[in-house]
Amino acid sequence: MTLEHVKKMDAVTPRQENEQFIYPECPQDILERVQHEMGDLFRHANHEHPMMRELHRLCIERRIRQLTRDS
Amino acid sequence: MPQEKIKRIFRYVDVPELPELYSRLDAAIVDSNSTTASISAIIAEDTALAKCLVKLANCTLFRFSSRIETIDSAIDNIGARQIGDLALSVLILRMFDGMDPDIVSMQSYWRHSFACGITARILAAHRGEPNIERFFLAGLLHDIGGLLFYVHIPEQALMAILRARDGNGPLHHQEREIVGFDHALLGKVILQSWHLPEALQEAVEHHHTPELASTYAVEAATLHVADIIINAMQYGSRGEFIVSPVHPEAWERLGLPVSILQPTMEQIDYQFNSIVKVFFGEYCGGIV
Repeated sequence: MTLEHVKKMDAVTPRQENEQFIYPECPQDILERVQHEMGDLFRHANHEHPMMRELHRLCIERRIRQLTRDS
Repeated sequence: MPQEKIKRIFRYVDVPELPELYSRLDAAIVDSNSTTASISAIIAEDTALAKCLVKLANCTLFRFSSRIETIDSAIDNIGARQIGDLALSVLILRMFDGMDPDIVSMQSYWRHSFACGITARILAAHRGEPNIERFFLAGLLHDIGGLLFYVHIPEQALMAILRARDGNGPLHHQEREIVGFDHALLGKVILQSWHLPEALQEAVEHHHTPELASTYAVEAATLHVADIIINAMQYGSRGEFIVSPVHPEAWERLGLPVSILQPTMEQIDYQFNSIVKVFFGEYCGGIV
């Protein structure tokens, strides 16, 4: 595995701090848009359930990938 | 279900009849004397259906090493029951072809239903279920009651959608308050009138209330989880624009680790376009 691979993995592997997902390499405008969209979509979700937390995280990642691919 | 409620449903809704060909196909599939040739002969009466099934056998749902060229070969490789379920999916899609309610786009409705079918099928495969096409069919049909709501009682259906959108609670709760029953119960009644298996009926009836399913609790739990995943991935909608809470008991019942979510979502993205293209191609309906 090269350094480039590690960087790519970092880009889609968030750290979780205080229940917030942090995506260090995502452009700020895209991150804000995705967090707004996903926050709205998941507003009634039960985040105390591990399945829901993982689903929310994966959907943020997927949406970031979609938007960075399109931009 | 109380008779009064059923009467009330039929006062509101005309349930369409399944094509006669399906009754004969289903009878042939359950008949132990049937052969691949006799089952295939029934399907072949509907050339477009046969072509659609062969196309489906070659899409990303199945990954056969060589190309499937005939309906006989599709039956031998996929299974008669499974082909019967896929045939029913195509026939049902055709029944609703041309239906164009103003409230929700049909494209959005079918995108949601197909994606739910694909997801339920993938979850069932992860669990090692024997007939995963049955789960595809269940997913495809899980909101069929909602479709008849839009067609037969559009004003009430719209009111329920708007109330849910304004944050008054889930759509099916609004339907119960406004109409007296929800799309899930109507879906069960439709499948019952089509004499489809009880497993399908119960799964559809309880996809929002998996804790109430008894005999087919796994099927209901699978649909419940599939519906949530698809809402989260925003594959179409039938008027619900939020992710509902997952019922902990339903997730537990599936017995799957959280780590399957990522490969499941990747498979959904991979399979969706290919399957939708076949179903909505020239042989299968062309609704979208």
